[in-house]
Formats: sequence, structure tokens, C-alpha cells
Amino acid sequence: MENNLSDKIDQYLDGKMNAEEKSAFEKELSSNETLRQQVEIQNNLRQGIERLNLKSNISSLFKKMTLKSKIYKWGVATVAIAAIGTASYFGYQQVNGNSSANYELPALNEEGTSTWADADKNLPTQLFSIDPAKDTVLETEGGIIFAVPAGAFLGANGPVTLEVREALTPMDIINGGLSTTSDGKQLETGGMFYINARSGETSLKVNPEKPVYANVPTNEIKPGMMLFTGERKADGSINWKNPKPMEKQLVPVDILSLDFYPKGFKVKCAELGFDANNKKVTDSIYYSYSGRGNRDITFGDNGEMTFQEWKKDWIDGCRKASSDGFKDFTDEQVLNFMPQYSETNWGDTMGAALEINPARISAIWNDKFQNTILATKEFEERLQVIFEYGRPEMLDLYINNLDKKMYEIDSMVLSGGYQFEEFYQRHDGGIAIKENHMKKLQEYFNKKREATESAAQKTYNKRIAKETKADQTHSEVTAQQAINDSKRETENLQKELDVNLTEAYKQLGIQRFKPLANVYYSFAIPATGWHNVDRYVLESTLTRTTLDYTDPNSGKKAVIKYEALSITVNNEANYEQVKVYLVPDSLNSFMRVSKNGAAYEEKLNELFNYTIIVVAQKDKKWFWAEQSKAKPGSANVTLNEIAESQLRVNLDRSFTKQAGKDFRSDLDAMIEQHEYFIQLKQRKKQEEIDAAIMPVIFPFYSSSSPATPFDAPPIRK
Amino acid sequence: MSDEEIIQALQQGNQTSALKKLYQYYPAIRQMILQNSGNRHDAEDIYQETLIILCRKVKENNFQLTAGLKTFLFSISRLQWMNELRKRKKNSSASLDNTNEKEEETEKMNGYIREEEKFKKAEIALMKLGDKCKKLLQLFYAQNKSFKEIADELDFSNEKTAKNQKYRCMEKARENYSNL
Repeated sequence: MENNLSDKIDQYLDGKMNAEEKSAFEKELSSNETLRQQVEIQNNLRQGIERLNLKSNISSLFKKMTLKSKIYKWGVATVAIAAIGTASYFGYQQVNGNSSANYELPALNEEGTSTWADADKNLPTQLFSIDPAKDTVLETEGGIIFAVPAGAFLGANGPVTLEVREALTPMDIINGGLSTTSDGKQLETGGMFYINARSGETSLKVNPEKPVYANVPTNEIKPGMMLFTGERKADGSINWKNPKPMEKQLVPVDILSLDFYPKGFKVKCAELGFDANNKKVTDSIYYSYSGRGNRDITFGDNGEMTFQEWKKDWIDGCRKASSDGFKDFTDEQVLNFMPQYSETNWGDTMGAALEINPARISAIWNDKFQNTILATKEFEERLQVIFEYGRPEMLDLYINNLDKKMYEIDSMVLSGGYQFEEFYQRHDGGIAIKENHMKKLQEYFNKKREATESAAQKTYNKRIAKETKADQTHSEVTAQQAINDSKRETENLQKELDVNLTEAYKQLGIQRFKPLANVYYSFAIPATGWHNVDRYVLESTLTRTTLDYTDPNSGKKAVIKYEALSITVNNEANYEQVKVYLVPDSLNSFMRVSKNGAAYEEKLNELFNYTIIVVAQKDKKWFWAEQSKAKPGSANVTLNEIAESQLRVNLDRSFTKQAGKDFRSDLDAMIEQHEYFIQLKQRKKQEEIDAAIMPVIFPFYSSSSPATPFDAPPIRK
Repeated sequence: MSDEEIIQALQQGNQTSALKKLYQYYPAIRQMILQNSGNRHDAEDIYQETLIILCRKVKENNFQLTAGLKTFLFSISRLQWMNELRKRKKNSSASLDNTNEKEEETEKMNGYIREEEKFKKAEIALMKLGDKCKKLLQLFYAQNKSFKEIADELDFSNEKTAKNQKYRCMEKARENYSNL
């Protein structure tokens, strides 16, 4: 479709047509079906765009408000005899059951009595034959997953038959004649099942050391779900009793096999060309950013700030950040710039650092913390959410409570107002730890954290110091060079003017008075009528334009030609710091030629012979080109590599002593600039890495936002 | 914020604060959907669509809230979910109507929902565009940015490029739309 038609439709839809245009357009519209469709599509697309825009606003806001559910990925809640994480199933053998219609209940139940409940009789029984010496995982028709570790059944030798009956839907429960009462009280059910193991006719007991684990499917995990044990009653019903909270056992894994980096960190490292699978490499990158994000306020016994302290900090910060120190304001007035945070909510959005300092991670992600709750998949998962919140105090709760059960800590986090309900509801257990050991670990954590942070800080400070020093040296050298340049230019000008004046007077046939001192602008006028010559010569020399002067008295002419030379350096782009010089034979000096477009341009005085010298650098190597007797017009020069010693020899040959000295100092500046240039390139690369990685490590940090909570007063919305 | 202030904020394009406020109704709506064979995803989708409908409706000149905002959000969410359930045929007799809404009110709300349905096809066509195109079109049509601002934000060399890109993106969207 043509662009202006698209614009026209937009105008129509926006109601921006005038009456005339509009009626013409509508007339066309009523007769032209294609146009009508085009308008409709364009309108639909525009509406769709607006919807998209709204959608992204809404969903990004929602993401901030709630953290995405992470438990439902298997759609399975862990109800259990004792339950276990799915990860532990790997390595288990898979067994399929068969449910037999002709199954008849054995004479005795699992307790060795002959009482059977209605449910036992009415619900179909699924049979599984397993090898008790092997880890086995099996799934029932209703979707319950049982994990039977080797040796789970005491006294088993030879194959074991598992009998399973399940009632997971309301229909099953009614058909089975089951009820959900516990000593007369109504219960909500997450499903019911029966499991028994037999070797021949004999019922086997479960080894309390190696319990059987069960995952019962559910749509929603409800808090406070408990496991009840069924008691068969004489009337055929089952009474549910002995409720136990369902607790998931934590299985420690190798802590170094877990991923404690913020989400996306390794991917980013790989993108940047680092070996992301080498933990040494990624660690050194990650830990080097310790302390680089927002300010990390330590919560806990030693570092906690009170609201009063924080207010004072805020006032001090404002005074420091403002150019006049808010000197006309009282503390109370400065506080007025602060949004309305009170004793109860101040820590919610401010004060607390919105980042997890990599130093904290370095202090826990090591062998010391093997066999603790931190060395679990469960913690790994929580850590990711903690990263999303960026709250170190959440992390510290786990570190400071290694002896507690995971769900107990979850509940502490929950009570801090974070959305940890879903974690809490999983009822994840703990890992036993001796108090002594725990204390040692906490000490270790604090030391290691400080050590990592101070090492990272030192490295960073060194880097900054090095950069600052280089900047400083560079600006000093540049300034000195500018002084030298202007000094040399003035001298050159004076000398050239002298030569030009002498020549002009000679052409005019006049004896020239030589001034006594090097002051050219105020010497005595030798005779009336002649002072004009000096002015013209001065002007011509200053502007480097041809002098063409006719003496009004004698009619004689003085002509000194300035003609343009344009120098091109072949393959200039291959070099760095290309510098083009012109060395006039009788000036005992040199002039730097500036670049104009692709070529270096200067005007040559016909009274001099010029030599072109080009010096360049590339990767710390020198390049040199020399062309004597430059003629006006254009010149092409080709650079050749040259050893530094040879360069010095060439300089001595090309210049008189004084000019050579000046030139060398120009070259020294060039060396310095070259090194600075190389450093700048490295710096830029580092900055690019920083810019790519910092948002991954510190999602809440932005270089434009304050690095400390008080650099810039927050804006109240 | 009162209902009126929320609506005013939406009308004046001050979405963030209004949406934050509107988020407070989400748990209740989620609960309703969870209790009626939906999952959390369904709840999120439904509530998002409800908010979209609200945001777009309030911009119409003759929009008036007949009942409270909460009722509006609930009705729209509930009706959408009923439609969805019917579509899934999971529970064709699904009845979530324990409310005392008036017939004509329901019809009106259903009208809102159907109106938006029309644009979902366009949305699919747009979703198939590259991120830059999507962003560009949103900046131009939804956020009324000038080509100059768009060029700055999306790193185009100049306004002209931005403008040409806009045509190209629209053309592509049109093509996607026709191929759906």
C-alpha cells in the first residue's frame, strides 16, 4: 500500500480531515470495497497496537507486584508419607502397574487383622511388582508418583508386590464410601490413597530410615495440608487421625553444582565471549563486581540502621550532593525534600539496598557450606527470587538460620512482607547441623564476604586511580603541547615575516631598516609612504596569502607567492596518530599541518624549500615518511615502519639542534598520546562489559540513579 | 484513590498509579477463577484483558460507570471466564452467576468484551513483528511520539528513516493480518 494512502487513512481515523476531504474520502469509501477493507484493517491494527501498549504496561507492573509462580511446573503437590523433590527421582527405575478386575482382598490387612473398610472393597486395586533392592519410581493411574528407595521395606527378599488404591476425585471418594472426617470433624481433602507392600502373603513394614515418598497431583497447594492416617472402623468407614504436617525432606547436593548467579549472568558472560562453563572464569567476573551496585546496608546485629540514623544520613547526603550544601535550610527543611517515609515503611523502598552484593554469594558458594540447607536445589530456587527482590536481608535470614527448617525461614521471609507464600507452602524441611558448626560458618561468612568485597574494591579503586592518573598526565601533556605549539607558531611567524619583509623591500628597491629587537609590530617607520609595505607583508604572512604590492610612488611591485599544497597519506586509516609536518629549510623549526577533509593542507611560501615529514604509530610501532622539496599542488606519501633508534637518527639529520629538540618533545607527547589511546580503548571495552553485565547482576542499579540512597533526593510521585 | 480518581487518572494517561490501585482487586478475581476450574494463568490473562477493556473504555466520551469500579471489573472478568469455559467445553453448564446483575448490564458488558475480541486478530498479527517494529508502532500510535523522538529512542539516523520504518512495519503487519 502506498505510504500516502496509509497517512490518509490515519488522518481519517484520527478525525484530522477537514470537512471537504472527509466527505470526498467517505464518498470514495462507499464505492470502493478495497479501500473500505484497507481502512478496517488499519483501524484494527491501530487498536491492536494500543492494546499491545496497554498490555506491556499492565504486565510489567504486575510482574513488579507479584512474582511469578514457580511451584506449579509439575502440577504436583507433595503430599507424602514423607515427600521428596522430583530431582531425586533420577536414577530410579520405572515400573508400570496393572490393575486387575479380578483382584481379591487378601485375608489380612497391613496390620495383620481381617478388618477391611468399604473403600478397600470398592476401590480398584493397582498392583506393582518391584525389586526391593533397587530404587523404583512408579506412577498410579490417578497420577500419584511413588518413589521407593532401595531397602525401603524391612525384611523384604525377592520381589515385592505393592498394592495401591486411590481416591483422588470426589467421585472416587463417594464410590469408595470414604468420608473426610477426623473424629467427627470435617476435613478438606487433597486426595486419599492406600499403599501396602507384601512379600507373598506377608505385609512388610516400611524402614523408617528409608521412607517411601509420594507425590499426589493437585491443582492448588493449600496451606496447612496435613497427612492423616486412616483407621478402619467396624462399620466399614475410615476415620482419619494422627495428622502430621507434610514436610519435604531436603537433599543436600554438591553446592558447587548449583547455580547461585543471578538469572542470565552466565548467558551474558557467554555473549561477551567469556568461557561461561568455567566456574573460575565466571566467579572471577561475578565477584569482581562486589560492592559496585547500590549501597549494601548490612542488616543484622552489627550494621542495622535505625530510622533516625537513616534520616540523618539522608540529610547529610542531601547537603553533600547540593552545591551550596543547603546552607539556608534547617535539617527539618531538608527533610521536607524527602518523600513521606515513616518509621514503619522507610526500609521498604529506600535505605535497604536493592541488590545482592556478589561478595555475599562468594561467601556462601563454597565447600564450607556443603551439607547445609544452602547446598540444596530448594535454596537455589529461593535465591533466584531473592535476586529479583534484591534484598540482602532476605538472604541473611537463610544464612543466619542454617539450623532451621526451610519453611520456618520461609515464614520469616513471608512475615517480612515478601511473597514467599508459595515457598512456605511447600513445607520444605531442614538439614541437621551442629550449633558449633553453624556459628563457625557464620563467622566464615562474614569474614569471607568482607575479604571478597575489599579485594574487589581494591581492584576497582586501582583501576579508577590508574585511569584518573592517565587522564591527568594526558591533559598535562596536551596542555604543554599546546603551549609549545603556540610558542613555535609565534616564532615561526616572526622569522617568516622577517624573511618576507627583507624580500619585499628588496623587490621594491628600498633599503630595509632592521629592528633592534624582535619586536616587529612597533618598529619605526623608515620614511613616509613606506609603512604600508610592512602592513601588507604582515597581513600576507599572517594569512599565508600571496603578497602582491605595488609601490604607489615608484610603481615597483613586490610579490611573494603562497601556494597551496595538499598532502595525502596512503592508507592513512591503517595508522593511528598520523602527524604531518612541514620543515622549511631556513626556519630552524617545523610546522604541524592540519587536516582538512581527507588531506593535510598548508600554503607554501615560495621563498622556502619545504620537506614533508609524516610520523605515525600503530600498536606501539613507528612509521616514517620523508619527502624533500615539496612543490605546491598535491603530494602522496607512503609510510614505512621504522625502528625508534632510526627515527631519532632521522630527526637529527632533518633538523637543526633546536628544532630537533622541539620535534622530539612533540614525539614524546605523541608516545604518551598513543599509550593513552590504547588505554582508552581498553577502558571502553571494560565499560562495555560493565554496561552489559551490571544490569544482570544489579537489576535495580542504574548509573543515572543514585549509587547511594541519598545522592539525589527521590522524587515523590 | 476513589473510583472516580482512578478513572480520571486513566483518562489522563496516568496509568501506572491507577493500575497499581486496580491491582488490589486481582486476588479476589483470581480466587473466583481458581474456584471455577481455572488456573493462575487463566486468572492473569482474564484480569489483564479486563484492565485493557477498562483502560480503553474510559477513553470513550460517553463512558459512565453505572455501578462501582469493583463491580465493573468483576462482571467483565466473570463474563470473560464464562465465555472461556464455554469455549473449552469443559463445563458447558458453567454458571458463575451468583450475582444480581441486570440483564441489560450484562449485555452491555458482553458488548465490551466482543468489541475487544475483534482486535485480538490484529494483536496476533502485530505480535509476529520484530521487537523494534512493535516498539516503533507503539511509540507512534499509542504514545503519540513524534518521528524525531522515535528516531532518538530507537536509534534511527533521522526522522525520515523512522518514518519509512513505520510504513514498512505497518505494511508487514497488514501482510501478517491478511495471512491469518
